[in-house]
Amino acid sequence: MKIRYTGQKAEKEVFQVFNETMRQLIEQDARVVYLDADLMGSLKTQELWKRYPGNVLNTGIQEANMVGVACGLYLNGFKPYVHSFSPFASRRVFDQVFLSVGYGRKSVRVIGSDAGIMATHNGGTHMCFEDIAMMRTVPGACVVDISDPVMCGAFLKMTRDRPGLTYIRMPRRDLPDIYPPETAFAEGRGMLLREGSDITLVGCGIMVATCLQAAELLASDGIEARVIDIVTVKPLDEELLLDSAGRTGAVVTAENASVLGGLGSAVAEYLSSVHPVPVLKVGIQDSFGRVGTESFLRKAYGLTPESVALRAREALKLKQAL
Amino acid sequence: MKNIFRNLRKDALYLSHKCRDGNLQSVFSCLDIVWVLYDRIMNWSPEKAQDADRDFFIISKGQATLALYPVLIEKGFFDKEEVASEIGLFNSRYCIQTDVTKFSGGVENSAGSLGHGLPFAVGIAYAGRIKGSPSQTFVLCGDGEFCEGTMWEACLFAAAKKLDNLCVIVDDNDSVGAMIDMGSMRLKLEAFGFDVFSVNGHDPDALEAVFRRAGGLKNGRPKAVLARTVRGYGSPTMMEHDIWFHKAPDAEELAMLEKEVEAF
Repeated sequence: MKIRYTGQKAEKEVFQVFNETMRQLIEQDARVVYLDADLMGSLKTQELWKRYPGNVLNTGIQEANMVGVACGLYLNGFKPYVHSFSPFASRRVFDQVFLSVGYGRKSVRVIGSDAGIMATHNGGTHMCFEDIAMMRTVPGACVVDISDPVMCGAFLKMTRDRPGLTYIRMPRRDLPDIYPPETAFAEGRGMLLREGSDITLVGCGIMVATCLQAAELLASDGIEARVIDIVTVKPLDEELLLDSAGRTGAVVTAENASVLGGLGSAVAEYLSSVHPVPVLKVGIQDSFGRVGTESFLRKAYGLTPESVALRAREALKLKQAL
Repeated sequence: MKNIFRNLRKDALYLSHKCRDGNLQSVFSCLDIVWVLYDRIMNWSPEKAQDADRDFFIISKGQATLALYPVLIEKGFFDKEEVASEIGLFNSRYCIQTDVTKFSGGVENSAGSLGHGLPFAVGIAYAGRIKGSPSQTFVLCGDGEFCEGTMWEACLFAAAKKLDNLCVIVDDNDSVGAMIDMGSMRLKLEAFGFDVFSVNGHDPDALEAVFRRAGGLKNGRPKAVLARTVRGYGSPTMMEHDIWFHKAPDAEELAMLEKEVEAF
């Protein structure tokens, strides 16, 4: 597909797109409500709150009750979106998300911001690597790791009436532009961003751009990498993965999340049962978070283009040894 | 005890016997409350089970489902023999915890994990407030359930949002006393901004009066009804022996307990 990735920061930050999109949604549909557990300052949604006090609600710092309230709002006719930082939107409230939302078949969109290393200076307490693994286990869930601002707006809109749990994992800022405006996304449909026949790089979230950079590094060595943005870690685009594994015979996954149960696990679980090929995982290797800038943390956890390229070369060796 | 309250208890005994499971002590402690709500207070009928402006009844204390089925049977929403023949079977719609996933209307929530029902009820009441609906939301909680933090988060929110369309019923059968010293629920809930009422949870007329009084007070304060109840009320054996917290009667016990309920 045609992309507009240049390596530059996006024209609009994710929080700006979030604000614009929620405003459109509320204006189009009075039943849309956005709940926040006192992190409106972080997402810069105070103006939205002032403008639409009937649709925007600050519950105070009580994420578990916020999720329960969202379920009640849904039962009584509303379309709730709830936001907190990713650890508090997932790990802290997992019983509510699993039972009240998932098992109770409520249509609720949970937005977990600044997942993984994007928590930067907030450090280990806020650095959530495990949310993908947890949310994947909720039956019927859609788990999306946002790689680009256009994707953020699209998923907020397209999941408005989606039944069950939708987990939208996103940084608040510092994403690049990858997709042209009006790009059509779908649940369970990955995006093929670059063709290549030697190896497949599958990324999600902030690691999609990293995979594109890694593909450039590999190309300078004559290795042609196929690059996929998986878009939704659940449901997985199995067709695209199977086709890519068949064409390239080796896969590297890249995620800003724990490799225990995350994207790499999901891809390996699937391919091992239908078309076993080497699947090497770039991601957080069973570690807690720590303090730093994004670039420091990328180096610290091996979330760099060089790490992805290195794993790709290892995967190629495994493929050749088969 | 009036006949209807005997019949509800006998239905609960029978269903518990059929599914070989149940928390009958807890069920008997709240049955009178649930019946009074459905029979005398709530804007609810089987035909209105999906009506947007119906009153909502949410079971937050998960063990009380066998109190809801008999009430919905008596109200003609469920068929007693269907429930009795299916309850507890593999994949059955009916079990000892409410399971919303298998019903449309009638059963409003899945209870089981404690501390979920009150936040859910608060969301329903808040939605009613936004919509300007006349609907009221009643939520039945256990006293022990108030050890869960989400209960207090929900109380804070309900008071802050002035949800006088919300009625929190505490089935106070002194479960919590065995765990921890809760202090005064009345003072706690008043401090949170609730209008608090105390009532004998086994006196139908007193219950009706208190729900009417609470419902009529449109003063921007959520309502809490502290219902003093007795675990196993209606069966001297169950009132005395806590083994009936989680035990189903076999055929012999069923006959014995039915006799006790008849004589109560």
